[in-house]
Amino acid sequence: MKDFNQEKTHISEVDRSIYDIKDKVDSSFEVDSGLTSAIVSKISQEKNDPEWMRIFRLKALETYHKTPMPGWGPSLDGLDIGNIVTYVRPKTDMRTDWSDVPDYIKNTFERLGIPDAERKSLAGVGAQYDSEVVYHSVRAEVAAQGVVYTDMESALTGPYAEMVRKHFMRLVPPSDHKFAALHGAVWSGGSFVYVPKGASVEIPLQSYFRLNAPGAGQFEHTLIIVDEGAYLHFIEGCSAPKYNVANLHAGCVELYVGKNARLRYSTIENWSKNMYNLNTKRAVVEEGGTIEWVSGSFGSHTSYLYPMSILKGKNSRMEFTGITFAGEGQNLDTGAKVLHSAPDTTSHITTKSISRDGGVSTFRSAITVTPQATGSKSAVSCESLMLDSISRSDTIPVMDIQCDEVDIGHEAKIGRISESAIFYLMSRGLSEEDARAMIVGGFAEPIAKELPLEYAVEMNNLIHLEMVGSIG
Amino acid sequence: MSRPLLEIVDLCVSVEDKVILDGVNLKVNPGELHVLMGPNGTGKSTLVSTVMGDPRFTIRRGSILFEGKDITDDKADARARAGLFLSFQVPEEIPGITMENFLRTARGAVEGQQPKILSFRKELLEQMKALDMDPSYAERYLNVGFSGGEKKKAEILQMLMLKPKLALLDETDSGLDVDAVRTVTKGIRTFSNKKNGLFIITHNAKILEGLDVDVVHILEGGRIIRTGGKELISLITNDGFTILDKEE
Amino acid sequence: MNERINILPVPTWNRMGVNWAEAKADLPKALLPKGKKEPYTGSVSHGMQTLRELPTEVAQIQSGMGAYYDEYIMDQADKTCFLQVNDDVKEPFIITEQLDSSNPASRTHWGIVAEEGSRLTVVQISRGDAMDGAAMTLTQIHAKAGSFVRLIQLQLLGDKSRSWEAVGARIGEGAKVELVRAVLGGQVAASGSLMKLEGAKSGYDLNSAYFGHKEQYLDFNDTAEHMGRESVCEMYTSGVLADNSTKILRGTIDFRSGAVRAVGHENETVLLLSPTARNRTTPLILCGEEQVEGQHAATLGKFDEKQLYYLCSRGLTPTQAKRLMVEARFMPVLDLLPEEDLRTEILEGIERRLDRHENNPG
Repeated sequence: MKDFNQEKTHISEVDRSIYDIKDKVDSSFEVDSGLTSAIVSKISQEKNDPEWMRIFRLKALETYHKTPMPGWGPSLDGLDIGNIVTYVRPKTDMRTDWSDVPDYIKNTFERLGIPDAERKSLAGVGAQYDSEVVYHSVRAEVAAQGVVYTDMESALTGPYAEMVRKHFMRLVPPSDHKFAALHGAVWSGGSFVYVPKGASVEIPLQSYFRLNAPGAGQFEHTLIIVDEGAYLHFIEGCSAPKYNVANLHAGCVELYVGKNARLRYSTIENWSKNMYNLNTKRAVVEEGGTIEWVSGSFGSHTSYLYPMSILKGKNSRMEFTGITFAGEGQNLDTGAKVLHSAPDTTSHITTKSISRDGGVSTFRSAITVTPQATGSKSAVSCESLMLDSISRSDTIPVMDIQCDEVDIGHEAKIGRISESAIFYLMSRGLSEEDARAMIVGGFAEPIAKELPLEYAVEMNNLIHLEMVGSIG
Repeated sequence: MSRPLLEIVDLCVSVEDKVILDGVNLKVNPGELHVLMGPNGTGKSTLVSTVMGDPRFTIRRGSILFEGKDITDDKADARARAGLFLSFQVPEEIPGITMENFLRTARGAVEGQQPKILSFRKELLEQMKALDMDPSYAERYLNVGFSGGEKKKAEILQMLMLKPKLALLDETDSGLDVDAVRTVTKGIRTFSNKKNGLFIITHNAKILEGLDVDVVHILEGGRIIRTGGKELISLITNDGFTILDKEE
Repeated sequence: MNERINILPVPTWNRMGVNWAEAKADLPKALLPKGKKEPYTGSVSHGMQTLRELPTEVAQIQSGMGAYYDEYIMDQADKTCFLQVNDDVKEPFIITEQLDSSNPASRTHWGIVAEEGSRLTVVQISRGDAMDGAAMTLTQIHAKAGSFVRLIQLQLLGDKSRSWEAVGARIGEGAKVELVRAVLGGQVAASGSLMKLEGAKSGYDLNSAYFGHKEQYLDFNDTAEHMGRESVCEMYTSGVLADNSTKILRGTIDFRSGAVRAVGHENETVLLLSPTARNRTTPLILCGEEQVEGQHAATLGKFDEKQLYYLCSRGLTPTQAKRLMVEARFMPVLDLLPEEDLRTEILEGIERRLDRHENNPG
């Protein structure tokens, strides 16, 4: 009998050259590494925070110092916050025209295809470089609908200042966990979106986050409010060049989905493999509203990422579609949380994960159905694929059901590429590598088709590259 | 005479240390239609799977030649590119890959260049129509959720699209209703010509109606115990395999 | 030392409350003096014998309840029962623990050494009730190559008592262990099993059924650890929760590197009969080997209306149909019981609970 193990092809590193181009660090201001109230005050002063925000930051810092590290999940031993530079200001103010952005920053975003995508398929773009947003623009016809899309700093002092203050870190309070507290203390950059009642933004908005400075942290804050009956598709992309020191991403995303509103939030995370990605995302959904999460996790050294949906209004819904691809040196702990707290709420979670070359992927979820959430439904399906025996794949779901009028289903599967499927494809003329790549691509397909088109294409290329690679 | 398409010499095959084929010899020439019959469990599927290069089977002795070239150690994809095709008895279901995308990739692999998308699609839809397949199947994932009959038609469709020199059909008619068998036979007729070879495993003479059978082999106990003309078919369909034992 | 029991093999968010058993299930250590470890002196069937001491390698087998509990029982047990099986023993070995005011607590250390090719069924039954009653067992099983051990645990205690049932097993090449469990009684019932499928083609089946009612708290921690090639486990848990009962199930399939072509399936169904019952489920699949197949499925909810309708269309009243569907959940366990009387006793227990439920629904 032929042993497939012996003829496994060597799978090489994916080509990350586009992401890995480092710019010379040329910042106008950065704070010392580490975390003290002096540093936090300094950040607050640099950013011209309103007074309430300065106090907020200092209180969050206290909470940070009091809160222990998580007692579960991947190791964070390689992360020394004392060595992370929390604030790096690029040498430019925010621009609304790419030609005003300094060349070296503009070129980075050009290589990532952002201005091009903006012309072709986006209604607005925000671009953050290290700690500050360097570009923000929204199409005139979208702005005419009353849609606000701006950087968080402008929002703090602009006409929506009250709205921001009312919602900022209310969904994810600094007390939530250690890295939420850290975020509250040193946050910088990010986007604010307000979609007024009944407005429907037919083409997506996109924010792109680029971290260039080595040993730095990125702590952007995204706050989106979709008012009654409105619709928005928001895309978030992230990348960074690889350094030998740990970088940290502890962003925070707060989404408010109004009555009968719908928000689709797509994330493509392709941080470099020295990144600790400890991001917190949360949505609250009012009556009849829908939150749809689409999440692709490919990068990072270590990830903790579990977007949470609070189904607060009757008949509200959430859908989560995610894929995680863990390769060499990566420990990606991803999943979703749902709190059903009103009658007739629905949640659907579909995830796929692929582990190869010693990578570790963990699916982690929590579904809570409170006593008042009668008539609620939840369906979870997670599938994992192991491509070799030096990798790991774990599935850790929890369900807490506190009422009886419910319909809850959970399915988890783990497996490998079947030898007979490979033979079938090879008997039609495909090489073994192509057959394997095709099967993995097919495994990822139901998720890929939910991603924005250019990312779906990128993901297919990525899988093909990772699977076929350069042999030898 | 031209050289044979397929030549099997003293083939001895085992799976997990159990010998299944024990010295099989046969030859298929271009343009010939061969039928392989035999009781269940005698190794008919093993024979065609081994010819296609199924890694589950170990070749202990003997060789397989295709157009005079020894392919005994070739992998399945090399054999497919050389012009061999196997219609699987139980086709694999592979989620996430549409039939059209798969067939276009496979055709590119066997022909050495990617076919043009539009003309390929046109050809595919024509062949599907001839096989009574709904055009929506082109967009469906490969064999996923297909009924037994749809899977078998999809195998014949693949044969017609990939244009092999020799097609091995492993009980392509089993589990099909009368209409579907007729459709499959029509597909086989389309494929059959002076150059192509066919090697059909069947229990049922229906699939052979309207086809010109040249040679019939009977496999039993891991060996070809009898080779003859199409008269063997009616003999066996009427009286069963035991008739052969009585004759001996 | 960590005094927690039924610890989840890999921790998750503390606030979900599933990382270990609730404080209600803490051991009643202060209440009980150190036991005398009296050995079993009754008769045994032909083909098996009792052992004075448990071989070290068996005494080292960990249970699913955790080291703290294991050490407590090994140190403080009132009774021991160490069995060595040498042959195909047809007669099931049955021991009943009866709690009452004169015997409110019992702690038993069990050991089962199944020699190569031997077979045995052991039935452990706990009945009766007492104020602060406690029924505690630790069962260590060494199933050597080709052997078969079926362990049936029937917990039929009253409402005042609490129970702890811990099982650990090493399963050798071609050997099979079955754990059959029915939990009906006790104000607190904790069960923890850890089955190590060490040998090639070793097998493990779990059939666990429970009916929680009143203020009952049930806590399960069942783990199958695949180490041997082509090892197979099938874990089924099925239960009913009424009134204010609470249940936590941690079910884990752990594929260790080297468990080539291992297959593990885990399935759970929970029938919720009360808006104030609470169910928590954590089905883990841990995997460090490529060539495996693992699957988990859980369904939780009320009666399936379509099934009820189907049964009623055949003439059953809704009450009869519901009873049938509850009993159906216990069938995989009942089918494996060696005695008709036991089957009847469990069915009657279910009936009583259903009667009570129908008289005070919700």
